[in-house]
Amino acid sequence: MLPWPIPVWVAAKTQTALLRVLSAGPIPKHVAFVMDGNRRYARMHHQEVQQGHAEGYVALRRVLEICMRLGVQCVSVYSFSIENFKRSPKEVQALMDLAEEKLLELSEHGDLLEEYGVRLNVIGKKDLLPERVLVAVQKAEQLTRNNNRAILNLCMPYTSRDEMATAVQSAVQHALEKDDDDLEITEKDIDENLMTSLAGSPPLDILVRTSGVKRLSDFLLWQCSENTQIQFSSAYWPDFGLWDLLPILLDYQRKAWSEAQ
Amino acid sequence: MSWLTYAALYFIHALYTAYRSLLSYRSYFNNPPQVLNVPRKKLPKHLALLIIPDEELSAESCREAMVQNVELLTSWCKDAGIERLTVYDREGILNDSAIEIQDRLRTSEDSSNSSAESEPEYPLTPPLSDVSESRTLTPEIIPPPLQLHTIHIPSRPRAKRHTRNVVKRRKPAETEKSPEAKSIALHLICRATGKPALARVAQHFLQVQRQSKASVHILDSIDDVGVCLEGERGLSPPDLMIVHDMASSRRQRPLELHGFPPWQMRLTEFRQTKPAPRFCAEGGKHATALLDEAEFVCALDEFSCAEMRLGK
Repeated sequence: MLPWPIPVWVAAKTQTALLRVLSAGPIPKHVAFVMDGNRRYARMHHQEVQQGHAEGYVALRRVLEICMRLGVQCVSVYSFSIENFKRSPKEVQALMDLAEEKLLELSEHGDLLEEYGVRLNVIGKKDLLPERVLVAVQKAEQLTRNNNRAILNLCMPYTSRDEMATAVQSAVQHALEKDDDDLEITEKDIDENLMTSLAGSPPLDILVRTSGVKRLSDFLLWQCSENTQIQFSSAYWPDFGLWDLLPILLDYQRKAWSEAQ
Repeated sequence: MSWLTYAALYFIHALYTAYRSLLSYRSYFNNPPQVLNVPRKKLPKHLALLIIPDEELSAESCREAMVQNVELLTSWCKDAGIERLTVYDREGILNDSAIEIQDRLRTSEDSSNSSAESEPEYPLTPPLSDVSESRTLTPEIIPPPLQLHTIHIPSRPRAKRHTRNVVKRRKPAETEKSPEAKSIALHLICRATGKPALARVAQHFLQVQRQSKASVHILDSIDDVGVCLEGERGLSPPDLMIVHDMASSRRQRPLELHGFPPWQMRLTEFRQTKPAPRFCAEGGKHATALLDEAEFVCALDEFSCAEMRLGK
């Protein structure tokens, strides 16, 4: 976010022009976001925590639209960690209410996902979700299942270790079913059984964590451990926008050009 | 896309390059001197160093610089009181130099404690090949060992005054040991300790399942995988990782992890070493390839301020 107010139409025109210019260079296929800082943003603005999460949803829509306009094929976001169930029941309830409401809003006819042809995948240990949220997940995924221009992975409730362990279990199960004693499980088998791979996601190019924290916090550990640029932005997630994403995209383009030489 | 669009893009990149260079100069000169041996609110129990070699150096110079980095970091960690250190390089150059590293650490330890009488012991632990009992898994489910070399560097007492007609004891008394001296475990790892290790764990559970022919799944949870990768035969997660690209010019680039074991990075704090401005590159590429103590101290200072919410 810029520190000074500018007329909305000027901001919109500038953004359009900038996106057009950036699209002339290499664009990452898959970008992931750890949407961190909603609560600190709320405290800073003397708001309730729930309001911070609501502002975080607005930021998600904003960043998702930017990515779609740039031509990013896949966006993954860390919406809710399995560890977040440790938060106060009031906050967890508010987050589940927000998820239930916004999942359907995003997937509705005419909304963002339909506009850009985005298929929604909810990735994680979904059996931990309340029934009403699970129903919303299933409905949202169903509404967008025929969209084929891009993918949005909402990781909730998710941890990377759970994903890796599940991939190991699946790989073992598949190998047992093949009933071939000489069959060996390889890295490729683990990779193919990850939830992001099963959802059709390309390899991860960029992982962004907001709010200044320099940790991965159990998000996409396997996917980001090689050939992924990891960027730590000091902006809180509700404030994150094109100007924060700009240096991240420029860094990616520099890497892509140097690899092409 | 028109030529004007491409020109605008290259102009933006030129501005960005200039901006980054300015930031790196400002950061270099604004870096106040740091002190290693001060009390900190929080210290990492386990520190990792991810070294990215500089291909422009000759293979031997690069290897030598990497070994020197290990020596430097081991010394600083001992002074700071960090008990576990892991050094990673993707290709396993340091693994291949494990014996030399052990010898050099012993030599530098001997020279700083020249009056110590007992021979220092630095058992070099190659990748485990024998079975050891796991505390939490049943005997038939013994996890495969991770590929890592471990060097244990015990604490040594500082030099004492010699007096005549005193029986010289082989081991010094407990009360005479320096309270600050701590032993350190040094692990040398490479890419094989990461993703391939997880595949080997899966292969291991497949074999166990085949042999047991049980209908109940042997592999039930994250903990089963975690015990294999982090347990007694594994690698514990580092609290802090310093990522050091030996090519100074590349340190402006975003962080990348070059295949570091993914399972162990769950809650690791990251810090990259900063580029030195070109006019400060005294001693050439070899000198700038070495770690700077001030950077190490900055990493400790940042870590001590980091807030860990653990999902809450």
